[in-house]
Amino acid sequence: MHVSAIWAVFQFERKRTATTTRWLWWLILSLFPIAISLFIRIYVDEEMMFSAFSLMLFYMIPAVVCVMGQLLWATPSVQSELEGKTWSFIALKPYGKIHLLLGKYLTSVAWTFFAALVCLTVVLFVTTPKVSHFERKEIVIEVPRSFDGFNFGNKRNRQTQQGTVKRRVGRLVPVEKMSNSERIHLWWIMATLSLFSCLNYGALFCLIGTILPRRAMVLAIGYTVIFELIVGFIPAIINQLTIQFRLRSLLLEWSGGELTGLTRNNPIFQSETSQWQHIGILLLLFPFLLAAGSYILHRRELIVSEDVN
Amino acid sequence: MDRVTRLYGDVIGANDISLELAPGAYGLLGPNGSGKTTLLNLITGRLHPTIGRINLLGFEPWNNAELYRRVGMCPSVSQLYPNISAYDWVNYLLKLQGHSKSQAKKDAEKALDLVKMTGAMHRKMGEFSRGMRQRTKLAQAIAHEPELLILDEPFSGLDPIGRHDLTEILKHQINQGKSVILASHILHEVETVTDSFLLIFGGRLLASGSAEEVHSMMVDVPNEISLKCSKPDLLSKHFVSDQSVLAVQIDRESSTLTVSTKSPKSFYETLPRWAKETNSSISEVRSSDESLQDLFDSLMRIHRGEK
Repeated sequence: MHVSAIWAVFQFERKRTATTTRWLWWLILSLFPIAISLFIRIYVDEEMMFSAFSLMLFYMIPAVVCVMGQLLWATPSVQSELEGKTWSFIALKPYGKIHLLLGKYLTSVAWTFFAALVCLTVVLFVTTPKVSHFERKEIVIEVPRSFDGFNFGNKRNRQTQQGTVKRRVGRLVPVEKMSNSERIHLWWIMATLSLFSCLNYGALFCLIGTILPRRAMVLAIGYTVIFELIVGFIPAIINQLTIQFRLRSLLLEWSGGELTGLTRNNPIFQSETSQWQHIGILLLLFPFLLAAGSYILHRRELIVSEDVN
Repeated sequence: MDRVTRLYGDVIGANDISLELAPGAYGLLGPNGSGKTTLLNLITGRLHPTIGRINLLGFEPWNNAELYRRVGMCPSVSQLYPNISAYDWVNYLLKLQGHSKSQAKKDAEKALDLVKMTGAMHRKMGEFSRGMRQRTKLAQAIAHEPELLILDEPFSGLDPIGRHDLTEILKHQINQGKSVILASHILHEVETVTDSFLLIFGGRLLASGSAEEVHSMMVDVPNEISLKCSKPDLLSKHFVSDQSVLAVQIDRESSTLTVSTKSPKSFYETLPRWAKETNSSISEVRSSDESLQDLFDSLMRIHRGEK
């Protein structure tokens, strides 16, 4: 492994990819959460719960922006070189193939994480959804017992009558009037989750790009929809295999009880696993995925059409 | 190479090739689609042989970083990153070769200077002509001073001056003791650089030998050359008097002469004298590789035992 070669690829790719098209996509990606938050601010004249706001931020930034960014930029790492026929030059360099993959991975992480940080900062500090009044209070809702199938297990919940249970679903905090420390705390949570999201999804899509370079995008979208979106919400142990589950679990752990009422001990959202286990898994997963991608790329015979004459 | 065969599914890219080459310069000659690029990719370890073994400079070539330090490759592909300058690209590839930042900078500038691209090296490659792209590709291949230089169709798209410059660069490399393998489908291009040939067709290595030997094989195979000149009638009289010329066709409207000769080398050598004697200016000379195709067809028939 030659770190300076990876850095050389990163620098080269940074320069190569700074095209108008790339910046346009980057802007679309960054503007998406900003536009949603602006829409809520202008058109929704209702109080927004802190918990709902946190979840909204999570699904807009670490989930959508980071996943979309990595889908767009990490998945075609190898495919773009094959289609551009520049692979012929890279493949014959001593620090070519694997270093190219790792350098391109770093570039896609940088592009996506930068987009996530920009929109997170704007949404939290500029376009925060507006609320009508400021009052912190507990929100408790009654849900039919038949809907309560996931063993919520919150000690503060108490049964009131046959067929329904009362649930504390969150804290009502007009987000426009969140204190600075609350905003900064939430910024750190989302920034960290965005980084984990970029690192892991980027590595996953790079791996997919080495397994099936010419159909990488289709495979990556298929994987994301089937596993991260559908399987990720199945209340069974299988959802623990998804990156979404780990990120969601950390969100719930780190948001300091704001989201506990609806979600704690709900296997859709969270397991009993400690946050350190989730962090450990997320920190080990992306090097593992990158190592697998590098191995495949090293062993694989990839040729461009001109190579078959 | 020891009995190397490479299959692409049901298609044979290289067919039972055994070959041992001493250091030197070789021209790999064959029509388009004959298996030249497959052979080069097998030699450089980009492809695995389906059957057989390969050894290059004492190394098993597949994925061999040590070998890649000693080999420079100029592939036939003409696409380069359009929004990157030639300097940035060569510099980048040198870093992937393992060079330090300062060494890469120095070597990139030196290589681009050698291929006469210094003036344009900071321009984006998307603005380059085909000839400039060929020069840049050559620069990246020679920048790390490899002991073996492999070039796939390096003359493609070059103008006469570019061809001459490239020939000089390759001759310079050979004079410095570097080995060169040059793949082309045009005999005269290769002939200017080396007189050792490997003839490949249909994935088979059909023959090897010197330029004279190849020419002697082609003695009965006419080579067609067309010329645009100012005095086609006068010039044609000289052609007809030449023993090696088999037929001459004049197109007065376009001032073009089409000459069929069995000895193109002597024809090319005598052509300037004839032009001078007739005071005729020649603006364009084109040689088709039909003759070579005919030679390969003949060799294939011999190889199959049909003749």
